[in-house]
Amino acid sequence: MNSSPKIVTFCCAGSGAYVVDYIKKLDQGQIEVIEVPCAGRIEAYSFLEPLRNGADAVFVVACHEENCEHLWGNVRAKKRIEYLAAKLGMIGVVKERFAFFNVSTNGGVRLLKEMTEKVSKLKQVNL
Amino acid sequence: MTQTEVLIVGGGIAGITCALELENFGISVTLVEKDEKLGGLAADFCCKASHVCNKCFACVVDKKIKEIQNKSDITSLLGWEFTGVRANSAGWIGTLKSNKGHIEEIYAQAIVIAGGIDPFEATLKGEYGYGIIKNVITARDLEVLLREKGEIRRPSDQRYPQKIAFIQCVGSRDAELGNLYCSEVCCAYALRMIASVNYRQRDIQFSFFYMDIQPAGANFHELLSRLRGERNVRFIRSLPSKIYHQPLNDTLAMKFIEPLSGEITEEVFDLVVLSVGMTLRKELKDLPFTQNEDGFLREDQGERGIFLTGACLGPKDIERSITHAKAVSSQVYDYLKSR
Amino acid sequence: MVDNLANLEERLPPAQLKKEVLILGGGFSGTKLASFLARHDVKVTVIERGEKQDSYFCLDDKTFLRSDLVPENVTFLPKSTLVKLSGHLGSFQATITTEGNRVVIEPSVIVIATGYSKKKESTFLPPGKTIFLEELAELLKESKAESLTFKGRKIDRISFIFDQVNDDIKIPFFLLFKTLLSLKSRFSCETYVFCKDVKVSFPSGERLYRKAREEGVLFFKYEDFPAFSDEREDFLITWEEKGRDPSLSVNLRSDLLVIPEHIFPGDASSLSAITGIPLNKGGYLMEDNPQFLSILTNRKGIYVLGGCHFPHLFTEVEKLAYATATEILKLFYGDTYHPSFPLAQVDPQKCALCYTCVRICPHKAVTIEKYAERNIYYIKGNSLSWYAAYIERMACFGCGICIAECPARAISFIEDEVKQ
Repeated sequence: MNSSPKIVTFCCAGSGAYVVDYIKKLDQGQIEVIEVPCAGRIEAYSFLEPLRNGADAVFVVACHEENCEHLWGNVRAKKRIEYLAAKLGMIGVVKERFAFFNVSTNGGVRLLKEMTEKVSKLKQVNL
Repeated sequence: MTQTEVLIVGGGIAGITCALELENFGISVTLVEKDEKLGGLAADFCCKASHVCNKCFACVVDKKIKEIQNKSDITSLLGWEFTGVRANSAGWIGTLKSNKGHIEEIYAQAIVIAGGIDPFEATLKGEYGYGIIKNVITARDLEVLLREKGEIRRPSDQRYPQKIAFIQCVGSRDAELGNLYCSEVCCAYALRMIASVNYRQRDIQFSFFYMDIQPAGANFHELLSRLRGERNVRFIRSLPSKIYHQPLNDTLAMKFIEPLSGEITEEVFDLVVLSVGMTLRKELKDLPFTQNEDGFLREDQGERGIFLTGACLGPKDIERSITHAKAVSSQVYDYLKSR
Repeated sequence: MVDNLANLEERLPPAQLKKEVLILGGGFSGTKLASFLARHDVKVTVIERGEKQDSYFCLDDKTFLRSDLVPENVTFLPKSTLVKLSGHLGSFQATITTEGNRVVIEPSVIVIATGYSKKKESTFLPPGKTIFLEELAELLKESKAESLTFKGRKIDRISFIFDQVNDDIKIPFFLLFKTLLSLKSRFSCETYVFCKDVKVSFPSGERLYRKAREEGVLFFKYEDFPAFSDEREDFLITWEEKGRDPSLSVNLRSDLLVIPEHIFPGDASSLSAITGIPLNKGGYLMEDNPQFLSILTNRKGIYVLGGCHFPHLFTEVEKLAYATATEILKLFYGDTYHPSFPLAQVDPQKCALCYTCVRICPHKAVTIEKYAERNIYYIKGNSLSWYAAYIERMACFGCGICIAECPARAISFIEDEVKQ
């Protein structure tokens, strides 16, 4: 049980950057927000580094499908995080430590709700 | 008296887009908006994405608002209303009144009217009980609700609704009210909202009461076929006559003609959403601009240097308002260059 | 020879966009845009695959020039099509075949205004008793007779069938109402219209619809398509709806059947392959994505206008043409055009020439030019030669997708390194 997980969140400039205020309202200890120009910029290394540095979870916030200014950046990011979660799951890293959210500039409230649900699931897992 | 090159009346999406485009040409712009914040009607809209974006363009409005707030060389006068205009030898003089009552005049070479629309006042359709029955809301109320709360709950008891009815053409295509026009966007926004709510709150039954489904945007066909395929979404080509509140279990009963049999049926719902149409913004009605037969402003006012754009010319969705505002920007640029 | 790009940027001249635009398509939108741009000192070339332009060039909103007069600053090339496109914003190289010859035009900006196409298709319909909507409109305009005749037969009962395809396009209904009112004012035929939904979402749409009903046109709104059976002198339409009492089914005899021309994207797929612009789900050019606001595309300097993106009503297309003019004129305004940062750059010594970035870039900003030695950038005079992947700064949007995808990790941002 982890009452105050350390979460690193990548936010894309097209949507996530507009809802950073909502993300920061997540009711728990430490959340670090990293802005990227597009979610597709996030490479595999970017997911592993935070975990190596002690983060409990890595979240990605990207635009909705068919709303990405760079056409398929969000789709690439989603595939990448799912693939990584699957591969790392094989060596014992639980999948609750990764999450991918679709959001738009005016979807802050909904995002906060989804993230809160994910965080509560995370808290119940033995890391 | 202050002066500017172009005065833009209205800080909604059309006015903001026009201001941003004109600023690219080095033109000094003053935007005047009656509300205390920019964005107009569309600033309160929610995201209607389901598993994909449903192309409602509400996110684009937020982006444009942020863009204009970051531009220091566009003057935005918030809390000021445009109350009148008169010609002078070299251009126009606009009269502005602040919400506290101060009066100012501003000289401009060109004026762009982007005052926008008001949603149709649903209380005028008394038979639907809006304003009296708590669980009858307009689509605009639903937008604000979804934006602020993220999910639908019944206004009366905050429970999740199980049967929702959407009634289209409220205030439009209505001979009794004298609104003989189609508001063009209501079918699309209601269907997008159904798709969006259905994606997250799975056990709701939707009933869509309509006359004719109007398409909007490229690939509307795909959204419509997706919804027709959903088992919990019913399409009923009939408009209900009256809504009754049933106080015993706080539900709503509606009578309508069942389209296939032609018989009068009654059904019970938890929540009713009225898809209200558009009418010209009431502050614009007092200004000396000519209106067309549908009660919107005419594009050609017959005066050099007065331009009009956006939904005040006729019902438009966000996409077309932006296109229209960009189009008028090149015409304003053309006009100023030729002086 | 250079191995990093930072000092290269100082040696290449700053971007100055020459005011030259290439418009593909000489129809309504293309000519309107061309006239407007020409008045603002932009050199415009309009290429049209047909023999002559489909519309008029206009001096201003009200005065149209004769179709054989072309404004100053505009070059009109008939019987021409685009076969190859390379380059980027500010210096495209468009290879055109014009009347058998190949010519290369080098504009700064390209506008695709090729429009949609129409075809006359009728598979299930009674032969000899079917006419297309535009043909009927022509017939009504030219006919001076007392009663309506078609192929020698007198027409008393006329039926229109809509929405079998194109059920999300308003254009046929715009012509339909005009045709119905013209028909009813001249002849007294029994007129029926079958459609899925009556589209009135354009100015005066509802009023025209009501007027048509007042004149006696009957509208039937179907969900299940009606059935036709050809009789000798006329034909029978049977309309039954699933779930409806069979005694309420509609049986009509009719002399003439009218259907609208089928609107489809035309040659959009080959244009998509040449320009690198994706198709949307309907088969038209450019993905239907709100971030692109109906005119912009994934490539800087290329715009889609009007019918080639979606069949809009012509009133809407006019506004789109002016909106495109705004986009283009603001690029040309001022002395230099500054690409926005961050920009991606490839380290040529690490590049493995795997072509991953070329394929993955959404904005087609990466090119590979073959030059003698591998993995270098070489400055020749004022321009650059290279044999490694090269990201064109005028085309790069700075998304960084190539950075994440490069297997050799050879790409990084100039000026805005992302924190890890």
